[in-house]
Amino acid sequence: MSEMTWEHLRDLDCGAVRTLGDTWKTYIDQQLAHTERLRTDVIEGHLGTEHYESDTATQVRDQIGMTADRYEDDLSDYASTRIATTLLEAADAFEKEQNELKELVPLIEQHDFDIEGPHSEYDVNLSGGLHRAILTLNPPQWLCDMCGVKKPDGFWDIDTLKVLFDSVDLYGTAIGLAGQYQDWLRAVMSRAHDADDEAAAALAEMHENPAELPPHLGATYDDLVDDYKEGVTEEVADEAEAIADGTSGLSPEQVNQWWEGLSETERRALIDEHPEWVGPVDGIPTEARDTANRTVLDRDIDALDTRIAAEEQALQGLDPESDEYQNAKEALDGLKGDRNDLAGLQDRITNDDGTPRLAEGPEPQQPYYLLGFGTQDNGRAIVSIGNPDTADNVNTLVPGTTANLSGAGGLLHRAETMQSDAQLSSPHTSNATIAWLGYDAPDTIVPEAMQERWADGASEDLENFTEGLSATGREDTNHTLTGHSYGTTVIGHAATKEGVDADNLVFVASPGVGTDTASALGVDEDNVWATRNSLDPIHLTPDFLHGADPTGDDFGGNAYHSDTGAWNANNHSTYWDDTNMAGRETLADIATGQR
Amino acid sequence: MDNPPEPQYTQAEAYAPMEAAAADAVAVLPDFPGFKERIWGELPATHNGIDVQGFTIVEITYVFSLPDSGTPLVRETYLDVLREHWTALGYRITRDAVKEKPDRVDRSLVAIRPDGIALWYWAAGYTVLRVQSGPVTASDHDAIEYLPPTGGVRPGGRYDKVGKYFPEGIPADPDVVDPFDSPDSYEDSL
Amino acid sequence: MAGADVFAMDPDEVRKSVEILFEIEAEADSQAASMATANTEAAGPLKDAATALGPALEAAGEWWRVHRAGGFCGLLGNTGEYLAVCAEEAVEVDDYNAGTFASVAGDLYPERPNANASSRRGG
Repeated sequence: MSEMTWEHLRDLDCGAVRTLGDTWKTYIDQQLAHTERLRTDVIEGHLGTEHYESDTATQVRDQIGMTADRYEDDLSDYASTRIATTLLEAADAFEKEQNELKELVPLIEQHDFDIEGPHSEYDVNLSGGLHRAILTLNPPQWLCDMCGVKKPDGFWDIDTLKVLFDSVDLYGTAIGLAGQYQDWLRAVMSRAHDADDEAAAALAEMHENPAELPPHLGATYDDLVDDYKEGVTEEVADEAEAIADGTSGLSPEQVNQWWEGLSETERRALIDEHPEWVGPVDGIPTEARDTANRTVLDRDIDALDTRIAAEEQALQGLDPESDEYQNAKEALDGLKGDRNDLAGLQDRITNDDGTPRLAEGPEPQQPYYLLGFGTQDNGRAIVSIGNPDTADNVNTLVPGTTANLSGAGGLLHRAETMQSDAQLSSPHTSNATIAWLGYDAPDTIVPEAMQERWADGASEDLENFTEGLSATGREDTNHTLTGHSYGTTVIGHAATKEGVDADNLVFVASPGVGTDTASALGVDEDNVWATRNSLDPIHLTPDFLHGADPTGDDFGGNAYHSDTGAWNANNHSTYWDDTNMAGRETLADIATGQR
Repeated sequence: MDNPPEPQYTQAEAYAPMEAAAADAVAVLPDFPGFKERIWGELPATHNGIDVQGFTIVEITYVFSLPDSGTPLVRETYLDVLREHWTALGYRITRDAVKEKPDRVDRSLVAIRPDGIALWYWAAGYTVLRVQSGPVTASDHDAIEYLPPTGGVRPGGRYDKVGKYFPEGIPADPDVVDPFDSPDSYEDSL
Repeated sequence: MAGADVFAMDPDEVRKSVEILFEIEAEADSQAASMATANTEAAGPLKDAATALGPALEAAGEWWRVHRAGGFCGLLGNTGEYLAVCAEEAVEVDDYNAGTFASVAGDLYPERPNANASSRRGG
């Protein structure tokens, strides 16, 4: 576990970590020259068939070839993907947070605050000096400026009295600012610890189940080499399974490197034979995931049909008045519900002939890509309209309370609207919009949406999803994460605790994003956007539940206007309706890099 | 008001007045170059902040071609004409905005009819006329009747994007010519 | 060269192969050691900074040196030693054992003091 303190992070030589990563890359090239030499100078050269010819000679050449193959795989899988990439990713992540610290710590010091507490949860408090200054009616200038009072000059004049009577505000303001810095510091350290732990895990997992080496020439070689060759054929499948299980420790970028390192035949075989290990994995390209997920979706629907038929058969033999019957009936209804939900999703994204459907929107029409689904909890559905791997702009919509697979149709309608608006606003760019129901959303406003656990439960998955988009997409793609309602809380928690790969964050109808300051989100404050309409009861959410209103001035970032519908007292979800063209236009502009 | 008004239309009923509203708008536009495409879409209808099953919002979008979208006639003159026309009809103008961008000026005009149907003329990258129903009770797709598009979009053509409601296909009207769509056959033209 | 199925073999060419195998073995071994050292050096400040990465990095560098680069070097050494024996006296792959190299080819490869060193490598 990372136990880095903020001072450690501040002083860390990230350049040295990056240099080591680069050194590994150079080393890999050096080693590849060795394997190249083995092939050209030995196998095809001095040990070629014109100099050395027999069954044994063939065996020896094979052995040298296997040795070179193995080493090249090791260089790719371990030295490059694991070690070098881990170092480079860690250097980038540490440096990003270090730069935040370089901005934050001087602010804390300038305001005479102290950093206290353990590295796992720092507090930023008023220093003794600042306490005294406020109590002795000698507040610092910055505090007077924030409170809009003139700094007292030591005499009992009107300003002094004003400060005296406003002393609570002075304290409140100072404590509020300290709280914002505390949120910021905690977020920086949380992301740094997360990056550190992930980097360590990627390296540690490397030697958990290493690939076998070819056997040495010698006794029982023939048997051993057969076993080895058999193992090699299963190696890719084993790796894919570990990646899908989440036990590989690979980041989405590393998964992408692994995938790109496979041969076309190996990729095809995985999609055909183990689509369940391909479809849900962040870092595997969208086309492959879509193909695999659609296969699994077909398979799951067929499997549910079989189970439903069997359960219906079993039900017939039971007494309808019995508990056993009621339980079986309930289970059967659950299966039917799952089946309907999956079939509904399939129908929505698939033509009658089984080909992927195009979303109906402005030209060029974009196909649906299925990036994930499931029936666990209230269900999952991750669907992209347009290919995020090739798009200039990608906007991911995270829905809020009551989002579920049964209602995925409505979520997709919203995503289609956003996609359509983006395309109309920016016809010269390619755009993709993703509906990300990749988490178990709260079912109720009270009490579930008041709890943080749903957001915390989603954080790592959202982090990985956004990192996967970065890994498979173009380098210059403009990524936006848009949350609605509790979906904004999900984004906020992911951004502050784990970090998200996004250029813009948009909070629509937010009850709070788990922090009181945009600075804590790890995204340039200028690219943090929030909107609430005046008839949205989300205004009533107290700050202590999920943090401050992100549209507030104190939060930082930008607020943008959303209109209300005249008739609807509760405008919490009308942000995409005909009553809010202003908001839709702004969102389209943000998502297409026009703001 | 605390409760949404009772929808005046079902989804199936909403298309006719919405398409008529689009046609009415087109009728007052001088030197009309024709729309490139029509799209029938939907949005979830909500109540008390939650998506309500059984209700929907219909959104019909007519899109000008990209070259036409950029002309002063389409971006400015039409907006002025529609503002005057919709005001004269007693529609409530709820948005009339201009947004300056580095490479263009976007304009947005929204009018709401007494029956709740909204009309949105948006000159952005593309220029579009959008018609929204407000919340209506959702209808089975079987109950939705095909209505030919207005503004020169070829019924059932590539740019008449209503296919998801009519999976069996749309009866094309041979009398209507879509200036942007290739005819099925050039035989008569040669 | 009784006992082996060698139909055609140019011993000089085989010996050249052996030299290349031993050369690559030595280079790869020393390069891996350098990398492990670089890892250890970089891991120091990371460990001082109480990162999780520091110890993991040091272990990874050592693991790579011993088990993967080491495994590669071991295989090259083993094959090279086998071929060195083969160039002098044909032997089937299954009949080969590392001790033969010391007895048959030790004089030819004086720079390889640890005859059959390959058999002691990890991997």
